[in-house]
Amino acid sequence: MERTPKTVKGRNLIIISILYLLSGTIVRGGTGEAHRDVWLSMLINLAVFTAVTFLYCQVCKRHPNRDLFSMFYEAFSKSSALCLSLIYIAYGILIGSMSWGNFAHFTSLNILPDKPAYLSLLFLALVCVYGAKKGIYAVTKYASFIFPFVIFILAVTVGLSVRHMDFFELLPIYYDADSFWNETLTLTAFPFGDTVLLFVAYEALDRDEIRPTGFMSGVWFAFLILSLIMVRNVAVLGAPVLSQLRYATYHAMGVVGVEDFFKRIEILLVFAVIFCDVIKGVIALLFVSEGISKVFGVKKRETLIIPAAVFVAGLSLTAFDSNESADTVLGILRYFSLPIQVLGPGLIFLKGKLRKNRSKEVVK
Amino acid sequence: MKRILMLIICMLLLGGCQSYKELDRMQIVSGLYLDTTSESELRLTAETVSFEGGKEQPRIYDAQGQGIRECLTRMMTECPNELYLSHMEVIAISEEFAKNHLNELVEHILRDNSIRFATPIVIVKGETASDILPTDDKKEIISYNLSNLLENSENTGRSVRREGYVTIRELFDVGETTVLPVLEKKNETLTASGCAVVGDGNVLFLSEEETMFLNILSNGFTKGSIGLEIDGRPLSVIIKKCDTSVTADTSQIGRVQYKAKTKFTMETAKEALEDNEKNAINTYIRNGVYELYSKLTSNDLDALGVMRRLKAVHPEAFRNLTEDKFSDSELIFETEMRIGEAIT
Repeated sequence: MERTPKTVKGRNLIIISILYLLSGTIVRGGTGEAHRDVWLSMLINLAVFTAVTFLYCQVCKRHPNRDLFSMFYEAFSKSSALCLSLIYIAYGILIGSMSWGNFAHFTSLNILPDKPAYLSLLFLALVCVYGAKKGIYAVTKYASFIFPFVIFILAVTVGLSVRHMDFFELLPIYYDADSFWNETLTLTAFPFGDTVLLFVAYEALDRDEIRPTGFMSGVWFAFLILSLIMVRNVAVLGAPVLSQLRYATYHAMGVVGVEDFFKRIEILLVFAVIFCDVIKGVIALLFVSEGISKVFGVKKRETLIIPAAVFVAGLSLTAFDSNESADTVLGILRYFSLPIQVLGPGLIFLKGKLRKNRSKEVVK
Repeated sequence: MKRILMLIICMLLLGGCQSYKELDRMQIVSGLYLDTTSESELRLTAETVSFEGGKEQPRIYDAQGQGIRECLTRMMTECPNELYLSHMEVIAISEEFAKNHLNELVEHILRDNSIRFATPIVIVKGETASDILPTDDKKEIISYNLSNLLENSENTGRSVRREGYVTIRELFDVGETTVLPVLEKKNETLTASGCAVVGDGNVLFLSEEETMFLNILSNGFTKGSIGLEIDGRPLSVIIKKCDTSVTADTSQIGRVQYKAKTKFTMETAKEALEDNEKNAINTYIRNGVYELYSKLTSNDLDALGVMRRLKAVHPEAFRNLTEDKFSDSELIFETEMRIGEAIT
């Protein structure tokens, strides 16, 4: 008997998108360049990425249950598809290694100061490899299970921070235009710049559930949660202090304490970070292994997951071995992130449109 | 077979308690006391908690060096166990340290992940910060007591309580001035009274009364009592509620104005106050508030965050200021008093 392929429901896609976008950003809480206007930068990014995910939805509607790399090979010539695939594979590796590098740094600096960075990364990588081998359906099940915990942790910590907030820190609005636009641009790369990798989840989406609202809801909810966290960080620590800190959320949560009884609440954040980083790691591995399997014509992408994981982990420990190098890459990436998000899916969409128009003309 | 192999691999990765630290192998720091010995040399004294015979005992370590990092490194070489700073209850600094090295301390807290942002910074009135540590054989951990002392004194309205992150936030913001609680040793008794305004290498100590006026102006005063003398007769007034709304603006001639409006709800032992008594209370508060503001402007210490408020509410007016004009600013103070049921 033939097994029916397991598909992802629209609700699961929303959950996986939220947790994927929260990963990394919940601990950093933005780069702090926009200072008080971080919520405004987020709002602009929300508008941009609502349009981007709408584009993704249209592309997936035309090519249901097809991965991004297959779409390239279907829409374009072999050489063009190869070029585009290589760009996206490199982008996937970059995003994966930046995410893992960030995790390794965060844990080695704040949680396990006496342990080398590679140790925590090793554990994360193993879980991610296992998750990637099990496939996207297993990941959605995992995401649905941990989602309430992550939301609970974030809700509790934001709620308990209220008495430490000084809302004057959020004023004035749009005071320093240069910093504001710099932050807006950075946010297109981090966290929204990773959105294109979600194609590995889109391809498994149930055909009936390919709806724009389903695609966009994940981005909207992630925006809402991230904005709350970023605003909390500004209101608690103050905008000028934020730009001095790398893990602002961790420090902002560190000031929360309910008398002598309930202290050290920041440790809860670590759980949320691990939960979310697993999802990001799995998606990055699936995306990269899928791309490599298409380029090299490997039939079973599962066989490429471990080599991809080794490569991503190696890069995260060498190229992103310091905060400075990660910031340098992010500084460059912010100019290319949005074009990369739009380029491939946009070209597929245009090609499809052109074909449709041409076939209409032929019918006429 | 595959499962067994996976299990073995997983077991190899379980480091267990490798490089664990037992509690008695750690030197838990309860408080840091920072002083200056010469122009560039610092002295760092750490009160630590050691567990001897199952009881908590204080143990003092100190070190000197060019900077905080150097002092800590030297202390670590002398200390038999690793210093653990995360459970610190207080960071006490001397006046000289506050003048010259407060920013260095703040930078250190931002860089050192082991110090929690909530740890309050207090200033010690007197020669050195470590003076408040007991010299005799008392077996009490003074840093733990300081935390309670600060909390209790704040309730009188004549002291302040600032968590570390508020101090850091204020020092990084416009005005670069913060208000710190003051500890003083009087006749071998430690008291927390008044406050110190610190900024730009200046330290201005405020008395208990001035601190009360500062709290009134910054809406940090909740309840307390005042005592004054009218025609030779003492009058005690209990302030049950004090609510101040503040805003900053610029006048037509470009002068910065700090506008504060305070609503007091008071009670006295007398059933009804005479008009001259009500006027005397009003005058006492107004004079105190204006004198304090004048003291702050003459020292150019923006303890009330006037310029920060101006920037937040009127950013264009703030942008048009050619220089920091706090020293030239003026206070406009209004009061509304509810004594019993009568409103003055």
